[in-house]
Amino acid sequence: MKSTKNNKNQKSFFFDDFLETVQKNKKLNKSKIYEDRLYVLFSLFFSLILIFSISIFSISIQESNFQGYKKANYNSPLLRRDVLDRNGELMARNINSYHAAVKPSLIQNKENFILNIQLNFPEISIVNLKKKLRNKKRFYLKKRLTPDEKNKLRSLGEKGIIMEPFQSRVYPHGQLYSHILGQIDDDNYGISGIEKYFDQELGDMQKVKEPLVLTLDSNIQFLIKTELNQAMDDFKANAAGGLLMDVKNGEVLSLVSLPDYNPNIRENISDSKYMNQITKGVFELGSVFKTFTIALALEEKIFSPETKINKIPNKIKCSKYTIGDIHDFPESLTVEDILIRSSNIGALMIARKIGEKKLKNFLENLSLLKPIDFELEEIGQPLNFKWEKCKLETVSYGHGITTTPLQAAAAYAAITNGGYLVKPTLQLKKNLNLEKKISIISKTTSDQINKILRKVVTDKEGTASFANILGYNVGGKTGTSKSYKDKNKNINTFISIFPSNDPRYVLLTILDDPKGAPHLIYNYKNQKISNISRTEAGWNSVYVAGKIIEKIGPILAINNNEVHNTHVVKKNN
Amino acid sequence: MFLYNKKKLAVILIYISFFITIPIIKNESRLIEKKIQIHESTIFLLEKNLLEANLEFQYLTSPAMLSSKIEKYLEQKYNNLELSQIYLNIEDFIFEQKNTTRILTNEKHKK
Repeated sequence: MKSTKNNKNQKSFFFDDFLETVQKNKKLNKSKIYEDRLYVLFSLFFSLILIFSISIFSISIQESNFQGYKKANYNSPLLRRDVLDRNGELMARNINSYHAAVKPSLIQNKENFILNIQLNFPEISIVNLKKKLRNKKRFYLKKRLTPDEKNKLRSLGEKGIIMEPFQSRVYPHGQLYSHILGQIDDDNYGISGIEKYFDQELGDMQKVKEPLVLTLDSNIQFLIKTELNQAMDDFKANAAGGLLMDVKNGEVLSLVSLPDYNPNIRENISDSKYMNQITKGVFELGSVFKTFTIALALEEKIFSPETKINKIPNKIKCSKYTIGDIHDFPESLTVEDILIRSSNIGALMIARKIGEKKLKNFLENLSLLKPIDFELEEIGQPLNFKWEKCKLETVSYGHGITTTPLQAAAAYAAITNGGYLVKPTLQLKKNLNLEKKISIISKTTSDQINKILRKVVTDKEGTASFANILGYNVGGKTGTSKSYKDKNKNINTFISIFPSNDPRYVLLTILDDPKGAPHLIYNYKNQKISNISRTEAGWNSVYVAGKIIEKIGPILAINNNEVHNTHVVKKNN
Repeated sequence: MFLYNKKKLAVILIYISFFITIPIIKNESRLIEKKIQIHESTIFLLEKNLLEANLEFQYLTSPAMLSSKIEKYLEQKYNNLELSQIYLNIEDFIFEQKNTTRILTNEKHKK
């Protein structure tokens, strides 16, 4: 047989078994069909498997989402930092709480529901509840539920009551720090006090586990508040305030303003008597300003403490005003006697020697004339006045000039701590001592002033003998003035420093319109006296300050150099 | 043909093995994640209890609460004593009293 490869045109003939070939071809064809069908099926299943594999692979590399819902319920992070006092005691903290909302459409038996609410929550107004149920809109039944209230509502088994998770701010000390801490709104934003001033810092989620530490001391705050409450009862005062500050670094250990309120109970407080008397209250503080006049005179070396000023008149006329003293004083007084006895005319004469410009500059340097920079929103603005006729004279003894008690205490701290300015602060800082010190008077002048202030308390003619607490070397100055708004009311102040040989603390006490307290027994010059109805600062503000120093002195660990006689306690049987 | 079948078989086998092992691994990891979540929620509950206990402690030991409990439950009052009124033993006290009496009687005689 020739091969047909080379010659295509050539036909060749060969004979096969016809049946075998046809059958073979048929079989081949059939198997081809089966193969094709197999391939189709295979590709179908292959594509299905491919799809499933891809989906399984994509699910396996994704993060599981089903935990997200549960995380929101269990692990909701606190939205606000804790606030602690200087000893680590808790002042404010966020806790998880609930609001109770109602969806009227889900309540099947409204009458039953109203009855249950009436029995369990009698304070909720049923009339309002019925109105809201008729409206068919979702509404809040009760906000900030306590655990008991939450359990009561849950036990009603009502589908229409929805518990909304919410974070509530709790103040464990209640009213103790109301004027300092302030409050927050329902969205956890500060609206007053420290909560507002440090709102951003407190809401910083990166630092949520680091608490904000303040300079306050809970024990001292409580003791001062207790005494001021007692003073308000004894002297029937409208308001009271107290401030304790470290003169070296400006740390405020206690700031009390009465009346106060409970920040845990949310209510609208609009009465002006609830303002912060220490930082927001602007008063004419009176004779406490004489210390500044005399300090400046000593610093300018116009006088020394022993310099005698002669021919001091009983009254002086200035423009249309007549200026006098409450008591009759001798015609000649030393400079320190002018402060000890609190002579208005004496202070006026000293101020005239100083001059208006110097006195004005000095008061400005002491930050008495403009609002102070402090870590609270509630800061009072001293009233503006012009240095016109007789202003020098009246300002010299503290009349016709207003300031906040906080500013006055800071000024006293500056004068008595060696003569350098301090900035009052509520936030505990580590590197306070590294800040620059600005000197306003010399150390010599500061020491001279401290001695004179001590004599105000110890001298027979002094006005603050009730603050002479054994062992604490208390010095200070009283101030009795008329209220700026109502001339029939007194504002009585006492600013004390202790121990006066090397002052560490300044304590300010202020009473608004105190009355006489005939029921009180005073220990006056080693005699017990009662039935006294006098209303000067020496008989009320000083008395309270003495009580406070007696209680807080041991806590402050002031070296009581007279304690060797009195240190043991015994049960009184 | 045989080789071609071998290849097909190998591919199918590989695929089946992937199809089985991937769900097993996924399942195991899901179980581990569940356990982690359970532990996390336990830790969270413990932390929450600790915070609440701390809050209660702070409230109960606040100065106002303590002073009200002291007033309510303690009837004792405390006074200060002068150091000169303290005697370490009874003999010192008797000796002091005798001396005081002797001084007083001497003064009486002088008068």
